Amino acid sequence: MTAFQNEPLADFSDSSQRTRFASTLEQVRRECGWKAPCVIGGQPVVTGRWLPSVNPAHPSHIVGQAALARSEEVDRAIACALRAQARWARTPVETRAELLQSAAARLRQQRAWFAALAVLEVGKPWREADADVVEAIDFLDYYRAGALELAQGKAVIQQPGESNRYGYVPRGVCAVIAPWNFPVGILAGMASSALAAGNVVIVKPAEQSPILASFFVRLLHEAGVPEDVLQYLPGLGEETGRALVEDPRVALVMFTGSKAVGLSILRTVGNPSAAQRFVKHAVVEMGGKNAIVVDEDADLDEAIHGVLISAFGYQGQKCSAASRLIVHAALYDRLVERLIPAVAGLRVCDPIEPRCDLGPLIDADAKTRVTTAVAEAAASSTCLYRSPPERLPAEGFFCGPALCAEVDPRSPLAQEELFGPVVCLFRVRSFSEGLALANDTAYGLTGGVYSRSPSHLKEAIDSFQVGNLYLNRPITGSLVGRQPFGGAKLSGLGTKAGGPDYLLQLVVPKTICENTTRHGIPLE
Amino acid sequence: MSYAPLAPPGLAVEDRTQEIARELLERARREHHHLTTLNRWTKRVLAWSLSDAQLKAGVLRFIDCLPSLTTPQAVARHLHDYFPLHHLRLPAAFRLGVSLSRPGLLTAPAVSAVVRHIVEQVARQFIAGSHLHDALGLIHRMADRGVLVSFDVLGEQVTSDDEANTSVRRYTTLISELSTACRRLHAPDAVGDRPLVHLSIKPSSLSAHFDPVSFEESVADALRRLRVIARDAVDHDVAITLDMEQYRLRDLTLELARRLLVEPGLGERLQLGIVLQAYLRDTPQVFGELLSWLRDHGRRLSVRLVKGAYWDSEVAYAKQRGWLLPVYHNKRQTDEAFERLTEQMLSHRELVRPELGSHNIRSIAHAMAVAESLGSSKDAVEYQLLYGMGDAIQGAIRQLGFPVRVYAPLGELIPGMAYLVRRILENTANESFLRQDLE
Ligand SMILES: Cc1cc2nc3c(=O)[nH]c(=O)nc-3n(C[C@H](O)[C@H](O)[C@H](O)COP(=O)(O)OP(=O)(O)OC[C@H]3O[C@@H](n4cnc5c(N)ncnc54)[C@H](O)[C@@H]3O)c2cc1C
Repeated sequence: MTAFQNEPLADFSDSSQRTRFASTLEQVRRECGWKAPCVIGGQPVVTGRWLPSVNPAHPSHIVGQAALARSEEVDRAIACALRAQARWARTPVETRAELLQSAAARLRQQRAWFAALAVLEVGKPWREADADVVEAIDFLDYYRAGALELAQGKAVIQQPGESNRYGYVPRGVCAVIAPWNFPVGILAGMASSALAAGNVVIVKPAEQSPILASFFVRLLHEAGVPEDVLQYLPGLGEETGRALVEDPRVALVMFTGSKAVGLSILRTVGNPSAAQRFVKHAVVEMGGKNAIVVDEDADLDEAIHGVLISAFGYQGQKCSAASRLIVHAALYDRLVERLIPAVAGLRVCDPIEPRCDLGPLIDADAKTRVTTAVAEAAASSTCLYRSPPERLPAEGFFCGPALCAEVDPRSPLAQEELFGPVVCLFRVRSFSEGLALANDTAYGLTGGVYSRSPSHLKEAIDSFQVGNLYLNRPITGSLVGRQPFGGAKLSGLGTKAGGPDYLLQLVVPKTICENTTRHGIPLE
Repeated sequence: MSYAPLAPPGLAVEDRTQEIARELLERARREHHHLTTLNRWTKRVLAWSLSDAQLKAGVLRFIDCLPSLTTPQAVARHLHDYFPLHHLRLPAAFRLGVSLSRPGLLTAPAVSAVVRHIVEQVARQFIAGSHLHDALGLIHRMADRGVLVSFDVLGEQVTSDDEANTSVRRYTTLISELSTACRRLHAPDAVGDRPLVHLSIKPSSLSAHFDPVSFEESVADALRRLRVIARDAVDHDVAITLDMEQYRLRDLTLELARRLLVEPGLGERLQLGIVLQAYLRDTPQVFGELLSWLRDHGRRLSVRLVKGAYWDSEVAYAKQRGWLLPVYHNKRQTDEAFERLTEQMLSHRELVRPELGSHNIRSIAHAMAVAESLGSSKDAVEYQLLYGMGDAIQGAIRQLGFPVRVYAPLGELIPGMAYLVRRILENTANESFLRQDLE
């Protein structure tokens, strides 16, 4: 099998790719209206309750409906998974790898279709939607290669008369609780890594993106992943998600989402129930309050470009997004003077239009949350820029970009993840002060520095407490195998998606020592 | 110099190319010991850059950030940062600055002043100045030598509509001021009906949203502003050329040109030019399509053939995205493509006014040989060089009686840095024609 290689991104400067994508969007828009039942052991299960998934740019447009799992579906799915676990664990790793490879090949063929659905179901602009699917392909292929390597085990010391082996075995039934903001990419990363490592997977998609998840699960099944090895269980987080996390039969929980839910998962996992026969393990990726520090010698063109991408790409709804901009006083005024009109010029519209810079927020709650926060900020601090409401599309969960200055660094706006296109600006007198301010949050996911001073870059490398540090470039858009992704502090436990150590989280090491002597004679 | 009678292309052209190249070189050498007259500090900086790759990176990075430093202390600190004392090959002048500033022998302001002086000198080599009087001075100096000028306005990246409107104002002001000031200027000989005042325009400076993903909107947004410039250009009898930037902007740029050419009341009167980059693999095809379009629409266009200024960044951009390289791998492929495109361009003079942007004597001589073999007159091709590069070659081309235009950037240091660094890189690149002359 071949080594991993990143899948090329779409090149929308090529007119044929633009035309193709536009027509795929039109096609998928017409196809909308799917019903996605639970899928347990390959069987569709209708529960009588449906959860609509709407196009956030046109909430009256229903993308599809997903069945809401009840406790009986959760139970059946786990029971089914449990029965399949031993067989899947014994399936040769080469077979598992082949299945992932074939899934990657299928996704490559359908990538425009999936990306188009991401535009419609979660409001991603074209490039963001494409990158999401590309990341999914990358994950499938990366963990395929990683599982094969992992299966080699590690070398341990050998002596005559004994054979020592060190390898890895799967943990068991795995609940994948996926977010909506990378509805294909992160879902694929979590599910494919768990499967590659030999764990049976139950997918609990986000309430806002169950349709994409159902098609991704179907794609894995079509690629040959056995029906009982992958269950699809749409439902509410507090119900289905919680039930999966708490169930004593679930050995592994993979979660990407908010800090509150992530920490509660860790608490549950840390309190084994009497019925449990193992300690659960959780891979948890939480949020961020990510900062970009702009030094006095920064290249302003680059910094502004980087801030626009990092803060407003996908409406700021990325855990890696920049929400704090910390600027050296020597540059502050000039930066603000250029940033405000640049932000005001961002185009907020339906992401089906290629010119879209900012699409809608994911749902009505998000819109209320962000709008309220911006209104409060406007009351208590200097709001440098707010989108005039009359310029927003009438329909949809739109909320334009906002810039706030003179925000109290201890205030919720400066400390809590808002998950929207809102940036707090801070003026600092020195680079060190900037780094200290950047570190002054509970989070530590991504961070960025724009500086042309080698000693300051080194200072940032040494003391910026983040999982992913980006120097003189945007802080979003990590790539599988190139920028393994994951946070520190309250952003995560140091697992790095798309990195060389990730699969180790999903297995337990097993040591085998065999006496190879007969009557004291080494037979090797 | 007399021309041989029409000879078949191929070997004859090759022989003539070499003959002309020798002649150009000899004349250039007689003009000046070096092909480019470098000022003192540029000579030093280029020499350091050639001596050691690490030092070159340090010098370029330092120069790149210097204009953004606002205090002498910041300059002193960056000097230490980029050129640690233990760096054995540290250039003497910088070493002086670094070591003196350390124990406080020389104050930071003094060091800063010295260093700024150096970088300004280097900038002056490649950037014609930042004021109208610099531009006028250059036009006059060049006119004395029988050389024409094209101005390029250096600007920061355009990130908002305001900034795009500002660049339009810069272009239109320059058009009216230059044309007024040049009204009484006599055209140099052999210029024919070539426009005296010529402006090169960066399409990306016309829109904050010049992004191919939304092709139509991007073209419309840029065209809205370009039209203003084009109208002024027509009114003042100024010619404009759309510079060619990164590959991803190429189709947008060509579309802008086509739209302008069919613009009612403007298209027939505008003297418009575009640029083709020979390092792009698909340029022959794109050029072919452009020729058909011009034929179909009965329009004529100036075409400046260059090799392409963004090779390294095109390679990085494509590789990072997993795309096929849009550019050739080897310099030789680019050179060959350049010669083929020269032939293509020269054989379609009913549709294009050929211009050749190169400092490479071989490339220039080849164009002359091809033109000759096609029986063209000497003013069939305008030879263009960058300000501060290859001035002895300019002289040699003029002596042979061909039209020459110098492309001169105008602007302040901060927005000029990207241009400046590109020129230093170009002059010191392994593959560069002019580098061989420095060594
Ligand atoms: C008047 C004028 C206007 C110009 N306008 C533009 C413009 O609008 N857009 C633009 O992009 N450039 C422009 N240029 C710059 C031009 O593209 C070249 O960068 C520059 O002229 C150097 O080329 P040369 O023929 O003088 O030198 P040479 O030394 O013969 O050629 C250097 C060139 O070879 C090519 N090259 C180097 N290494 C490789 C490699 N490994 N593989 C393939 N190719 C390689 C590159 O294009 C490089 O610039 C302009 C130049 C002039 C003189």
